[in-house]
Amino acid sequence: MRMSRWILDTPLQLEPLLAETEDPASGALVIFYGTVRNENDGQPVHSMTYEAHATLAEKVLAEIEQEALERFGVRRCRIQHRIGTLQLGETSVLIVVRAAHRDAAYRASRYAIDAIKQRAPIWKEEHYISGESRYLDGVPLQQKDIE
Amino acid sequence: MKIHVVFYGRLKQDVGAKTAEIDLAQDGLTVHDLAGLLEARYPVLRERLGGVAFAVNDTIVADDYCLRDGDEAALLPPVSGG
Repeated sequence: MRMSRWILDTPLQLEPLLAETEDPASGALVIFYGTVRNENDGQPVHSMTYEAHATLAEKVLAEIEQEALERFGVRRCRIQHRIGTLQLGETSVLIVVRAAHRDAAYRASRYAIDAIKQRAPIWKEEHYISGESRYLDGVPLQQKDIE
Repeated sequence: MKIHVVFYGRLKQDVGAKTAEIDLAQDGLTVHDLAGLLEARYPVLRERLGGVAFAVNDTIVADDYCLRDGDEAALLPPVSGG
């Protein structure tokens, strides 16, 4: 059982993050959900298993939140990633950004999901309807990304 | 010295185990040396280690990082989160 601020093995929930990030000075709220899609490269997908180096992933996600605040001047940024086996349509990653104005909120949200894909020590294994499974090709981690 | 090794993602599948123990008489092992030992023990890693990052005790380290007795070394293949 893993319950941290960033990595969870239970379904991700929007409401607690909205409550946590409540901010009267924000006029924009951008929410990004990454969900399990039903196919990849033409192969019908049945489910997906996510694995993380949890302590390192928590560190990286916290850094990305901080970078979003500093680079785009947004007022709130929270990221959660789920691990374990997810069914089609379930949420694997949830990003909540609040900013005074929409432009910064959209850009920070985009920055966060791109950075997660490049830098978070998380891996996905796709399970296909055919019964086969495969780890997806990924992005090599760089030492400087984490320091 | 003893090093606790943890394999993530497809490496776990390649090697057929989630963890391994390296037990050596001598000290002064670097991450580069560890990679060599692991390749000797698991030949399947030879074609994999190019894209693999090493984390020691929750920090990503360079090849010349000097390991200490009791360290945990995690092998992190290319990532695919999101």
